[in-house]
Amino acid sequence: MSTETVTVEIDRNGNPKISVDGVVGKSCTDLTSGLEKALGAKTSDTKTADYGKTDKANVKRAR
Amino acid sequence: MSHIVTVDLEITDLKSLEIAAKKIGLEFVRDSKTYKWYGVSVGDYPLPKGFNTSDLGKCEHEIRVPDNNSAYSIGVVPRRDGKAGYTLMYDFYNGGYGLMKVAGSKCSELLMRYTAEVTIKEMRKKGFRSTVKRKSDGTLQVIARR
Repeated sequence: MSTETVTVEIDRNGNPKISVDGVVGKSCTDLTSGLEKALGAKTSDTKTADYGKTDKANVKRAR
Repeated sequence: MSHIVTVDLEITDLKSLEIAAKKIGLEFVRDSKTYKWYGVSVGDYPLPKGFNTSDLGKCEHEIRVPDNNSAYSIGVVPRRDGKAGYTLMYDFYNGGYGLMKVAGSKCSELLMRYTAEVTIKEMRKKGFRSTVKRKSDGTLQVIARR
């Protein structure tokens, strides 16, 4: 099982840029939604290629 | 990488602000209704939206430099621009007589550390362990893993 990593780059005004690695599919947004809300107002949200993929292991378990 | 989000910081978590202040060598004083500044507005810098000169020096909580009676301090004041949370009010003339050396220019150290502390707290709830790193440009990076 791959390591799930959330990286937060913080600029000098304290504004964060949050990125997620090691997670495919829509579950990545569940990981960071609480953090985003706790930090402030979202200014941009970019979904990458991995976001559209399916976590095949989870799909097998659901069946 | 699955998604990337940018956020405009809003200071809403006073406990994390208190922890951040302590970690960079400042003291958070709850319910201190005044903060230390020059005492007279000379009108050389604009005030945050919704504030006027009669608001200066007043706050809900104070962040100060311990063991430095000369240093100005930071007032933690509810925002008045329609956004959630608090704004930091401070007099930076002459580096705040030692304040900016600890808090950072424009309170950058305090703000970066606040964001780091909120991140550590929120990611801990999800079972992540975090490390904080200082980058070569002086900014902070938090890496949370599980």
